[in-house]
Amino acid sequence: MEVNKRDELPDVATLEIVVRPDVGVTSTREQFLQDRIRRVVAPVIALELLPRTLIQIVVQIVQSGDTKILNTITLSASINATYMALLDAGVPLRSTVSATSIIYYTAATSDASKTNVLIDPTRAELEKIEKDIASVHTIAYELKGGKIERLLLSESVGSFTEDQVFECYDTAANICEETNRTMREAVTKSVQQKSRWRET
Amino acid sequence: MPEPQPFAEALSSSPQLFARLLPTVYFDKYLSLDPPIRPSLRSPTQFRPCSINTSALPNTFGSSVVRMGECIAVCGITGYIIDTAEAGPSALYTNVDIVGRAGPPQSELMSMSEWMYETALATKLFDPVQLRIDDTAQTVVLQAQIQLLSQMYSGDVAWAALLAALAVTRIPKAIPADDEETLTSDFGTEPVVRFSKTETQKLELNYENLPWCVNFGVMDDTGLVLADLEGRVEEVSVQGRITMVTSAGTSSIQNLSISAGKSIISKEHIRQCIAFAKHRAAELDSILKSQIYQSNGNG
Repeated sequence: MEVNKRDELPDVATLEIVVRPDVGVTSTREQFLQDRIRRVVAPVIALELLPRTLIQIVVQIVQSGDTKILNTITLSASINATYMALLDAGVPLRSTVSATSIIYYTAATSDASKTNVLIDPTRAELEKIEKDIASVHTIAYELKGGKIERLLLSESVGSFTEDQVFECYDTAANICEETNRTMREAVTKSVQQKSRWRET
Repeated sequence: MPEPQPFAEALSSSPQLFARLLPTVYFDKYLSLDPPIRPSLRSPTQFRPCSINTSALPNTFGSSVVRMGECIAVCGITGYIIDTAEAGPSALYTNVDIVGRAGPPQSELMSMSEWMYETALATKLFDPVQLRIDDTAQTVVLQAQIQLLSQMYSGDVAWAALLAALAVTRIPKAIPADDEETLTSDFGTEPVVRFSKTETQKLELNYENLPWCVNFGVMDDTGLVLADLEGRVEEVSVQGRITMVTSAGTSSIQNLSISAGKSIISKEHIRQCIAFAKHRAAELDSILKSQIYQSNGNG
């Protein structure tokens, strides 16, 4: 895209990320999300291959999977959506990205000390346990060839221990590989459909 | 690593110019010394010196001035009375601003402001029930205004200023406003209240050891962990970031934010950082405690 002379960078592409909420006006929350998405996506795009251009990413939230005070589902979904959009646009990328949300909460049962785990929950599931949330984790991994390569981003908020965080990373690694497979299937199907005219 | 060539004879430009033009090379030259040292002359695991002053601002419920290295943040806590039904999930609203800058807030500041609000909410610094006003359906809501006084700023200094201010915050008692200072109202039967000018009550925090914010960097190539990044050279040269909010003396962590950039961050890195962070939290606790002790007229 054409970039303002003022924002133009001589050796790399300029990356602009905008997040628009489903309801209401943009606030500091969207700034926060933009910053985190940028941290994930900027190292993965081969920015030096497109100097003096602008890559503009607009994330429009159609339906929020978060409750009023959480950001995690929006963040992990935005990261995945951004990645798929970059693939679709044909922007040169170094590797695959995949993100997930994991939530620890205390169960409202007699054993109050037990922590339960929700992975990529729906909004309904979140609202049910909202009062009992102990910690919320958003994790994004970089994958190469369908296998986890390294951790890209991890946002953990609440009250948790070192062991819980590491447990999250391991769980998230498996989920992200799964998500990656799903993405791969979707992209393969899409490419096959778009290439259909070539087959005759 | 090849021996760094002496450059003084070639162009004889100043170190400051070198730092501005080639910050990563400048940084590497320092780190390649034995033992490695940073341009700020701190060792890789050394934190910035920190000083805290509390209750310096008038007309606030609580205030603090925190300095870490070159970064200075001032926090003032005030509050207002609203109907409990209108109160949102948080009893504390934070706003971060840079002094002396006109125009719309920078996106980095907005992001920091949001981070502070979310962390304050999730960290449950105090129980909002203590802010409810007896015999009314109203509650006090606190507003924390954090001003960054230096050109360099970081989230941990702003957060430290917030914590220190909250630690000395005293909420004025709410008394019936039946004097000439208040407009009378015919609406509803709720007594109108206002803040007392004389009676205050200490805000009780949920933490004995406060949850301080600490940041680290992880170098791309060497995986070296650097504590407490500060300055443009370090910000540009170090991509991997680990920021956490944690308190001493407990195994729990309140916030852990990891952004790898191009570096590889391992569990070992994270473990190391958590251990350092707990030490730093203990150090900051004692700095704050001794400052409060002194400002109460002792020592």
